[in-house]
Amino acid sequence: MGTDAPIAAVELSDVRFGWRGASSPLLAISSIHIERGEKVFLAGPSGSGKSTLLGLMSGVLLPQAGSVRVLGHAWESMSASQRDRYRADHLGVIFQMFNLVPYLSVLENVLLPLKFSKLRLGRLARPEREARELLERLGIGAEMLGRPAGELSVGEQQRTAAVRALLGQPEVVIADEPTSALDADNRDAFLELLLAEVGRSGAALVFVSHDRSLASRFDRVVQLADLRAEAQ
Amino acid sequence: MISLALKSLWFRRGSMALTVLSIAISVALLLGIERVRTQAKENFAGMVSGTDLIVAARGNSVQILLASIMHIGYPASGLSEGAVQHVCSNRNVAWCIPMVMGDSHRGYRVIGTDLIMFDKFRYARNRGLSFREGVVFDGTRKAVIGAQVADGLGYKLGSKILVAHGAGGESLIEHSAAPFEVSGILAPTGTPVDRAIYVSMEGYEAMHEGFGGHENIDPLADADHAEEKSVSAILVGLKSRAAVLGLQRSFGEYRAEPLTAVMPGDTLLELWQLTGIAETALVWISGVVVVIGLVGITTNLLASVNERRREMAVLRAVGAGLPQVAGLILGEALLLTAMGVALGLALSQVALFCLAPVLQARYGFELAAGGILPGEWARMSWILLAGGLVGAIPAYRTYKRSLSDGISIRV
Repeated sequence: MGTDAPIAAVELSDVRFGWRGASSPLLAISSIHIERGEKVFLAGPSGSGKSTLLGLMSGVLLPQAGSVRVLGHAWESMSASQRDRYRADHLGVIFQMFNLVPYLSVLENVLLPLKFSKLRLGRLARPEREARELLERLGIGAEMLGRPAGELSVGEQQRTAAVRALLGQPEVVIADEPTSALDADNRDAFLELLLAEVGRSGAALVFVSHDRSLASRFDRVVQLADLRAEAQ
Repeated sequence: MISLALKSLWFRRGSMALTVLSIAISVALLLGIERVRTQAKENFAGMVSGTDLIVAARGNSVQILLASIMHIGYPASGLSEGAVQHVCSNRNVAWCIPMVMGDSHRGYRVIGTDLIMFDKFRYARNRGLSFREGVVFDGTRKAVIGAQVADGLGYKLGSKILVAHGAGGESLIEHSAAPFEVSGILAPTGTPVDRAIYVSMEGYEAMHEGFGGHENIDPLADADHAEEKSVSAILVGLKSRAAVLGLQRSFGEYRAEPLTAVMPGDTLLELWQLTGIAETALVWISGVVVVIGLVGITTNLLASVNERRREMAVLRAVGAGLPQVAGLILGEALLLTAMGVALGLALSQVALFCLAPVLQARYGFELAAGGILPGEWARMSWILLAGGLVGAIPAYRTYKRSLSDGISIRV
C-alpha cells in the first residue's frame, strides 16, 4: 500500500438499511473499514443483521442511505448488471452449507465463477489445472472431482466452496458462518486451510460467525452490536 | 447457461422425462393428424384428375363420388342406355367412361368399363394409366387388374378370376360359370385403380346373363342389374371446362330419368366439410393434450422454485444476475418443450412409417412419411412458443424469490 490513501477492500459509511414496512432500520452503521488483505472476524448473535450486512457488502442489497464500497467502487452507483459483473469479478462467497450446485460435479462447481468473470478467468493461465491444485491443497483429491457435489461430506463441500471463492484471486472473500455445520476437528482444519489460502492469495476476508472461540485467529474483530450502538 | 439448464434437467430427469413424454405424445398426435389430413386430401384430389363431371342416377353427390372414384359404396341406382346416350352424345363432351359395378373378386372390386378408360382416365397431375405387363382386354372373357390386385393375389398374365356378387371379401355366390382371364396388369398409381379389376361392359353383362336367379337372393341386385339400367356411373371429360356448370344443370334436368352430375372438385370440398368435424375434434383433443403437457412443465418447475432457492443463491453469489437466474428456469422450460417436440416428431415419423404400408394396402392411400411439411414446422414453433410462455411463470417466480433472497437464505 504505497499510496497516501490506500483504497479499502470494503468500506461502509453512514449506512442505513431496513426491510420495507419495518418502522426502524435493521442496520445503522456509521463506518466499517476493511483493508485489503485484512482478515476480519464479524461477530454478532443471530438476528443481529449479519446476513443483511453481507448482502450489503456483496451488493445484493442496497442501503437506503449511505454508501457501501468494494475496492473503491460504490454498489449503489452501479446498475444491476454491473453489480452482478462486479461481484463475479471481485468477490468470493462461502455459505454456511449447501454451497454447491447439486447437479454439477465438484470441478464444475469450482469453475462456475469463471463463467461469469472474464477477469478471474484471465488471471488463470490454466484454470482447470489451477483449480485441481487448489482443491488438492484443501484435501479434495482428483478422484472426487468428477463426482456430483451432492455426494460429498459437509466438510468436503465447505472446502470445495472455499476453493471456488478463492479461484482467480478475487480481492474480497466473504464467509457466512462457514464452519457452523462442521464438527470441532473439521472446523479447525477448515479454518486453518481457509486462512492459509486467503493469506496466499492476498484477499481480504470477512468472516461472520457467532462462535467467539475462533475470533483470536483473525487480525481484527468487529462486533455487530458495537456498530449499531455507534449509530445511536 | 444452456449447459447449466441441461445438467439441471438431467439431475431431475425422473419427473422431467414424464413431462417430456406427455409433450411428445401430444406433438406426435398433432403432427400425425395434420400429416394424414393433408395427404388424404392430396390423395383424394389426385384420384380424379381430368374428370370434369361424374354422372349417375339421382343421389347424394358425395356418395356418387365415393362410389365411382374411391370405390367405397355404390350409387343408389343405375342409368339406362338412353341416359348414357343422352350424356355421351352431348356436343360438349369429349370423352365418356361408363362404369358398372357391384361385384367383387376376393375383396377387390370388379368394374365393367369401356376400353376408352385406359386411354382417357387421368390421375394425380394428369397422368394416364400404363401397363406393367400385358395389354387391354380384347374380349368379354379378359380382365385388366390393378397392381395391388396382382401383387396381393399373386396373379400373373393368364390367371383365372372368378367373380362374386357383392363387395365382401368372402362371397356367397360366385359367377363360377364365367371366369375371366388376366390380359393385362396396370402399373401402380397410388389410387383405387390399383385395387380394381376391369372387364369389358359386355363381359360384365354376359357374366350376369350366364348366371340367372341370384337376384332373388340378393335384393341389392335388382337395382344394379336390371337389364335396362346397365351403367352405374359415367366419368365425363369435356371439350371445354367452361361448359361444366351449364352441363351439370342440363344433365340434372334430363326428363326421361332423374340424373345427378357431380363436379369432383366441389364434391371433394363437400366431403372435407363432412370429415372436417372429426378432424377439428381430433386437433382439439391433441391441442388439449399439448396444454396438459405444458401445464405439467409449469407445475414441475413451479414446485421446484422453493427447493431451488439455495441453488439460485449460490448462482447469484458466484456472479449470476437475476435475468440469468430467471433465464435458467425459462431455458429449462424451453428445453423440455423442445425435447418433447423433437421426440414427438420422431414418434410421429416412426408411426407414419409403420402406418404407411397398412394405409396403402387397405385404402390405397399413399402416405409420404419422410420430411417435415411447412404446416408442421408452424405447429412445432407454436408449441415451442407456448412452452416459453408457460415457462415465464416459474421464471418470474424465481426472479422474485431470488430478488428477495439475495445470496443468503436461512431455512
